[in-house]
Amino acid sequence: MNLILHLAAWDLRCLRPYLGLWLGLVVLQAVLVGYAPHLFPVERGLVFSLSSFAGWLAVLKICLLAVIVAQLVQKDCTVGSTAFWLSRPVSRVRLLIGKVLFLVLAVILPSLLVEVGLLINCGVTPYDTLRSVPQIFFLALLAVVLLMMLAAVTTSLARAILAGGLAFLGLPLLWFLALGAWSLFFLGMETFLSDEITVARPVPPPSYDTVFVGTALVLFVISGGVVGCQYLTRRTTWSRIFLVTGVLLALLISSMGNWEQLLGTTPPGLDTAILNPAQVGARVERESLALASTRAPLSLFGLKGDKTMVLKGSIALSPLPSDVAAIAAQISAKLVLPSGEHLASHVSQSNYAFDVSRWGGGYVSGERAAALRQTIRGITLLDFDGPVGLHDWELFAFGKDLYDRHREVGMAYTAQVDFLIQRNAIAAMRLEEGAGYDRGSDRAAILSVDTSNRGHSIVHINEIGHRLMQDVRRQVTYLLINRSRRQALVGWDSGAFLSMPPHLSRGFPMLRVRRLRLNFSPPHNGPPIGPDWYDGAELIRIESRDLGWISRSIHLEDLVLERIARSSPEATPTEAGGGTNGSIERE
Amino acid sequence: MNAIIETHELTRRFGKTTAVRNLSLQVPEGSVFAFLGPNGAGKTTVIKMLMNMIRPTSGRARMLGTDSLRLGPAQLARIGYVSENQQMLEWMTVQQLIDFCRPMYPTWDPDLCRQLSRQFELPLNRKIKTFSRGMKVKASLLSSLSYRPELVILDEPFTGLDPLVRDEFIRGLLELSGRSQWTILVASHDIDEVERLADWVGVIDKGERRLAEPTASLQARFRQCEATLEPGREIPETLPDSWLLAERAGQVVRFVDCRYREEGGEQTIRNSLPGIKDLTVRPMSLKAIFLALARTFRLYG
Repeated sequence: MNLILHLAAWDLRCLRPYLGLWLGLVVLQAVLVGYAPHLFPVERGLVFSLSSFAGWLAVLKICLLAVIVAQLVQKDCTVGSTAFWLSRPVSRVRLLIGKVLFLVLAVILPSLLVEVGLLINCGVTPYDTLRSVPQIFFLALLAVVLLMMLAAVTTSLARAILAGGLAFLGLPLLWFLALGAWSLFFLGMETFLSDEITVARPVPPPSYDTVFVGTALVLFVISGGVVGCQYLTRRTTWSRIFLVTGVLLALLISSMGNWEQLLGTTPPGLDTAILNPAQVGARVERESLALASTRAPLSLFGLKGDKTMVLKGSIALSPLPSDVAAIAAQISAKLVLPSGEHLASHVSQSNYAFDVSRWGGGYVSGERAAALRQTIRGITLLDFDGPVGLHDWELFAFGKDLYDRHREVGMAYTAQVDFLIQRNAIAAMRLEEGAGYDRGSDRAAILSVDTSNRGHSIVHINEIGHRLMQDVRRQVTYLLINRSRRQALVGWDSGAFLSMPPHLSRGFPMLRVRRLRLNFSPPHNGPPIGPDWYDGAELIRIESRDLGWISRSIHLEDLVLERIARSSPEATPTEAGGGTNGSIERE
Repeated sequence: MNAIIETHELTRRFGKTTAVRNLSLQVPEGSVFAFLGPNGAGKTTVIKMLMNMIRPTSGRARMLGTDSLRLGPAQLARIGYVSENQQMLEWMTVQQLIDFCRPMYPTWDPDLCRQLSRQFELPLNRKIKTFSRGMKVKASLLSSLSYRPELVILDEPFTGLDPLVRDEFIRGLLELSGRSQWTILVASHDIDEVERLADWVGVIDKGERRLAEPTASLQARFRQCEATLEPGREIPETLPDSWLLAERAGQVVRFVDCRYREEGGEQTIRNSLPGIKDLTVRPMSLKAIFLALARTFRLYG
């Protein structure tokens, strides 16, 4: 142990200028994320600049970490036969332990302490802070071990960068080219260009994280293995082969999708205390049915395809608790003729429901608006309740020829609908500077309110949120509600955010400090909104969290296409279907 | 003979090139073994295999009674290694190098370290990266001898040293080896430097061992001979195998006898070459023997 500490101490002595710089960057980044929203005025440009600066700072940190790790590993090089330590009574195990100990104590630990301090400073609860520690440690360790792997099998920083480029850019590129070639060779060009969507197995909300976690774990194990192999055996060729195999394995894991889907495990059901699936039923409101004609795009080249008819309609799940919303995430439908002949099948999927991560997005889609409408029942969303009816789901799509041949026939429509169930937490704030929201580790405060611009209003909010990997499928939307008029405006966010860990906040979210710039604009084709509209308005924050999925069947008898109302012609499926994708299977 | 280094059929290939081929060698304990060979002969490769810096393709080696592949800290603490190829911790000062190395060796001798640093005239507080090549070698020696290793391995230690430093260095080594019973293995392509040191000589060429024996025995059996024949005498077409590099010039034959014996050696030559009028037999320096051998191997393989 003494020798290990002795080696680590001398490494510290050698690398202290770099470590000083590292500590400086860590502190600067923490100060920027933790204090910049308080220190700097509400100026859009400045906040964007700070956000951009924080991003560059993160890149600089990674570069510096690469330099530190390369210096540390390559000064006692394991490649070749000229290193000083090879002729000294230093065992390989001790050398490796010394290096790891140095990295943990001198690089990861200060960073961990600063980040924990930042979480506490930002108001994250001690419990959430404690839960974050393993995640912070693992992410830092993963970065360090990956860099160590590249440094261990090369002799200089330049070569390590080259190896990193080849392993993490070149190999994935080759991988995807090979996959493309494989698809073309075995499945053929027609399948490759097909727009068909296969029926997906709904998975519980946190499960998509398994792709990130799985890939990260595989990379961690592989890089640890390569480092161990190189230090203990000094067989560089083997280590390099191990590295390439490992990266390909990680690519394979990341391409496979969710573990639940891969292993075929059944997703856990919904908590019946929140929603008992046996007591809810799905139905299509006949009066909401509408037909729109469009041209199916060839997704690969963006070219317009054949003329297509899209059947839209409102699907409702009822009865639902007041704080629960259901989104028709996947509709697997078929049309049957009175003779019992199966006419066509169709699958449509919601972009929103299958979206990987939606926390913090400033964009509010039609599907999101439909879910919000379920939450604020009886209140009109001025931005979305136009004549087009954007909240209607795509129930079916078929070719013009099918419509021409069977439009007068009373068909049967049956579908299995997979609903994504969300729970909404609503917090109301007075529309004035200083008003705020505080719940656990999440908090928000209004920095300024400007309603002087002819009905438009801009609200600046400082929002702090904390998430671990398992909690990522949440979305926060701000609405301005005038309860007396029973109207609401959706806030479109064009602000900037600072996050820890930077650049990884999508895959591994933790702390996100956002400077929201919420823009509330009345619709162009609607009635004008005067300044008095804001007098009785309050700002509400709706945080939606995915709970799980339930599947229900719906059935429509005597569906005569000719009798269904036609909506606006030539609308694209996205406009008409609220952001869903569709596919057609003709019989 | 108690061998401190032993190799058996040691072979190392780099791709299609065989750097060392079936080398069997023994270095006796307490000897100063000059490991000689031209540039590219495979000396450094052998030493690196001995030190477990590279793995042999086949064969095995033992150092201090341990298989070289199992050479660990316990054995390395008894070996001092200095090589022209070895990376130095150049960011350190000499004092820092001493402080860094000292805790690794239980046998570190501070007095010897002080003495060596004085002898080598090393400025303790200067960074090694500012040193000349010779100074770096001295710093390396300082860090490799201060713990009184049982075995010192020097791989081309004289490269880049000016004659004065070389002389000091050799004198220092002689002094050290005389004081303690250290075994020293010196690999060099230049015989001049090791001639004064070595009591054993091993010669390697193209990865193969050519000879390995005590210097005294080598010098005893090698003689530079010049024979002048009586007029009218013909020089035979075939000469004894032990006569190397034989040259004929009129009635004069010059050659190197590699099996000369002090007693009866001249008579043996006269018997092999009848009609000798005048015979001169001179002892050879190690350098002359080495050159004769090198030329012979080059000419005849």
